[in-house]
Amino acid sequence: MLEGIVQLFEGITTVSSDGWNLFHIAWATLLGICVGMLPGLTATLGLTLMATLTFHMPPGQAILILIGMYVGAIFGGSRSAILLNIPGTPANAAVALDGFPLARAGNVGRAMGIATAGAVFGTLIGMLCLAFFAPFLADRALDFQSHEFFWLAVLGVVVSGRLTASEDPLKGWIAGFIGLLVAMVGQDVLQAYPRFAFGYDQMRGGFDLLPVLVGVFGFSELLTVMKTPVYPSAQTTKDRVIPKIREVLGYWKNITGSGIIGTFMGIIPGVGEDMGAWVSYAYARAISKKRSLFGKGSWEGLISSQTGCSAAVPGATIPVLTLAIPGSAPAAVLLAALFVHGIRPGPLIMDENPGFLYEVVAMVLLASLAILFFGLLLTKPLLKVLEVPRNRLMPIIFVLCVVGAYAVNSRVFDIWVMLGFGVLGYFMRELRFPMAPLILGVVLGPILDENLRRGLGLYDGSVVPFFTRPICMGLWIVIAITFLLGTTWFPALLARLRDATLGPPRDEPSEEEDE
Amino acid sequence: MKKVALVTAFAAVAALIVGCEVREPLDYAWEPERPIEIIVPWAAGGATDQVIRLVATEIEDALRMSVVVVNTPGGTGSIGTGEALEADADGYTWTSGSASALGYYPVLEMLDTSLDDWHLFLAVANVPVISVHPDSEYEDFGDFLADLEARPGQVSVATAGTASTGHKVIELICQATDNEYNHISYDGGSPAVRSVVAGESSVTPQLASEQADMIRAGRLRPLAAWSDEPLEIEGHGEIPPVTEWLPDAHMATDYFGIWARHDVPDEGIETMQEIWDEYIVDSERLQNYALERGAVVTPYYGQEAHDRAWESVKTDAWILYDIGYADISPDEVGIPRPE
Amino acid sequence: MTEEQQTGSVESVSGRVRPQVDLFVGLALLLLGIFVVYHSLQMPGVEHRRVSAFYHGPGFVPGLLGITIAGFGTIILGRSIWEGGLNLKGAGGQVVDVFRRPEPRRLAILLLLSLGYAWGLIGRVSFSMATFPFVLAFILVYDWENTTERAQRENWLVTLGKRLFGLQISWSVFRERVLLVVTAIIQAALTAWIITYVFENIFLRRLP
Repeated sequence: MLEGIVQLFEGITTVSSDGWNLFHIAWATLLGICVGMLPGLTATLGLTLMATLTFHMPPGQAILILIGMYVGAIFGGSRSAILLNIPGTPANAAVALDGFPLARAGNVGRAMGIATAGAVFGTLIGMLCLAFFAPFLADRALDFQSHEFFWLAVLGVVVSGRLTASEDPLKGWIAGFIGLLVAMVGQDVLQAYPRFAFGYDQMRGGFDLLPVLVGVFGFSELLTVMKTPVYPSAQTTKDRVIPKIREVLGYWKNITGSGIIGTFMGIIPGVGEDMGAWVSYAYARAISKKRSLFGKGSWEGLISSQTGCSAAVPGATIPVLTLAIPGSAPAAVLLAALFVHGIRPGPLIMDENPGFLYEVVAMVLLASLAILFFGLLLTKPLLKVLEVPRNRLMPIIFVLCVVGAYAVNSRVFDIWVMLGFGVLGYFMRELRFPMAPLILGVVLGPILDENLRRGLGLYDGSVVPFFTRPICMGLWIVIAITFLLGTTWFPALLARLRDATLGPPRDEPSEEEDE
Repeated sequence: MKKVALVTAFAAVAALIVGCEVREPLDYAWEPERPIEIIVPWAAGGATDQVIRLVATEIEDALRMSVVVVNTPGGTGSIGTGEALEADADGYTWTSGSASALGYYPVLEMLDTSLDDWHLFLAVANVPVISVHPDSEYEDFGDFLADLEARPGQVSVATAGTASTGHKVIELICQATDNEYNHISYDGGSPAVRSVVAGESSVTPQLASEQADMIRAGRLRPLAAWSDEPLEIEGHGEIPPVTEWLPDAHMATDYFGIWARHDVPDEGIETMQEIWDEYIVDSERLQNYALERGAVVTPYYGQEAHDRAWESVKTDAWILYDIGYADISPDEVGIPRPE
Repeated sequence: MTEEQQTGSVESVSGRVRPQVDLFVGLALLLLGIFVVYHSLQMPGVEHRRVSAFYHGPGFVPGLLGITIAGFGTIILGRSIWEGGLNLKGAGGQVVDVFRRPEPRRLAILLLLSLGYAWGLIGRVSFSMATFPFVLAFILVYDWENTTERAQRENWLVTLGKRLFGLQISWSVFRERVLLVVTAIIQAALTAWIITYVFENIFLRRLP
């Protein structure tokens, strides 16, 4: 523990003593905020484009820029959520619920100030968990072997499919399984057999993750944005932005609770920022004395949801660093970038590259300071970003999508992959398939494939260890419950059982239904 | 706000431009006028990529011209190599990788080329090391061989996948001693090494460079180096050579380096030879890399490089054929079985 | 957990797709699953000397995935039929409708532009020569219709003119269009040049 604190300070001094790093984190976070603010540009898209563009940089700088982008984008999304009622990134949907009514009631500046405070505290709580929990998890991570990794991959797809498509989980799972299937294309890890290549040389290598991501989150997003009519113009702020410290501290319960919930949601593979915000929001409502204000303009709801989604950012990097499993879709990009830069995250990171984890912690710290600075001091000027005409911005984004897809491997084939997945992603969106499980499927596919086959190979084809190993048992039970709760008949059965044993349910508080 | 954004943008652009200053060219037979490109036919961050980026820096220092490393992964390295084969033979396009691959591509029907198509410039050789978990009951390599004998097909051996160096080594061991083992493949050398650290598999014969950190940290115990002389790893000490137990073992040495087509103009090749003599032989970067990662600096070119690589080609091609990975017999493409 | 089920995130569905549409989705998934299973069975099995057991073969996991997807497809198909998806009266129009709303023209043009750029131009002409016409065309196509509206509105250029030179101009549609073309050309040229320059001279990457 003590050693950890020393290393933490070493990390902070190494990262922040280099002036270039400060410069990079500043512009990266600012750019991230802009990307987050603009509806249609998600954190995943920003990270993907940045990952391809920083490809040539030294690893430390590139990762720093990506972290700044990630933290900035999740924060920036709150601006458009509050001002336009359009969450800039999907993660900020819960912020819009209370942020927009508050802004409409004339508290534009104060709402943005409180959201900024929430984002900063959320990031900091997540960062502390990253600093102190990740090394511990990395120590235990060696207990995660082939059998456990197989279940983790299944868990990611099942949980993400369930949570991102809560009204029709089937479509979430289908998206996840299609992602897994996409990952099967190309040479398999064990036999090097080119699967589904149909004789094309380029297909033997499979689809690279980054071009697929650029397609699904860039091109298809662009198609979705451009076909809809123009979004409404923003309100302007007149009141003060910098919140009173005492006011912020008054929400300490919401901040700490949501921070921890958000971090935890980030850690679970495939869940990420969206759920961090929603669960924190639910928690805030549960502990609130003014429950009726929720959804109509509650300060608690606003600060909790933003704290929750910002805390999920460092949270999602915990499994990336310790298990090499992404906690969310943007974290999947971060993982891909780490591999590209020759940093091998995973259980041995504390042995192979002990300083790196704390450098990441320091990067998160700098990024949170940057959002504090930009969020409070540049609030009004930053609103100008919302006035950038889409018709001017989108062609540039598309050109960057093309360049980004190409830049990683210098293959024209990757541009086609990007276009193909963009169109596929667009139609799947139209048919109400969520995109996050698709991407997680693509990331987790090889993990599922090789670990299942290897796990069977280790014990002469026996499936028993998959169910009896201690961690495995916990994982498959969670998966089974998630899966069953997503079906229509199982919750109905549960309700009937409960009625049979306890009698008919008592009346629940009426607000529960009004959403 | 616009001002701030503008200043930031300008500063960013300025910073990027400052990064590439122009220097005067030197007195070599060949003075490149534009950046030289080295194709790494594997993903960024891999073993080849790490070494070649060091070599690229040395060449950059020598020629005072940018050397761009382009990763073109896919097809077991054959896609990037194929690109270099089709590029203009002007000395501006080089490719890289493990030298023996050039010899066995035809055996795998991946690329129609042979060692003679290339000018080889070798930089380092990565030595495979057979390692076990520190709590393993194997005291030395002999114990491992005895256990292979005692439990045929039961000892789990972790490698970086079919046809990886580790796979070739364990196949060579089993060929030499007429044993069987349980092959557990992983997606790359690092996960394979990790599985032994975690206790999932018993033995790994992967490259020393992939194990060096773990060996230093005492989380892996090296039994033998697949080499005919002891291997030194900084912070650990010497690892005995496998020839102490298997005196007739065929070495499957992975020589990493860069190569250009044989019809590249002579000035280009002469220049590179001079650079190799002046910079690569005493390269501190490569030396440090080697000591730290348990590799050996092998700054060879010309006939010497060809002869060394040829030995690896023979061993590799035949072991690939013997394990059923290659469908064409190496005999058919003029690669004789090593004695 | 009830809370988030009710609210859902923004990426979640705001309502189910019509059963008639789901009928086709289910059918497509079923066919995809069967196709995948068929191809998985073609992959090397135990008879191949590299494969030591059935679960070692490359087709094992894709096969399982194919079965799962076919299963999901069947469920969607079944659900759709249960909900009246077989009532195909006017369904053709509904299917088409999904891909059309709300602005078929915008989408078609966008696809045409972007695919034309990436398929037709990239790789055939130099990168900047491909990018310039694309950005120009994109801006002109999408901003053209806005010129009429904008002519009646004060925009930043008018404000700038007013502040800097004290100009009082009311912009006609024609002037607005000229302005659009000029600024679009400038932006297209800048985009093409800056991206090309940054990638080729600073990042030292090849461009297609």
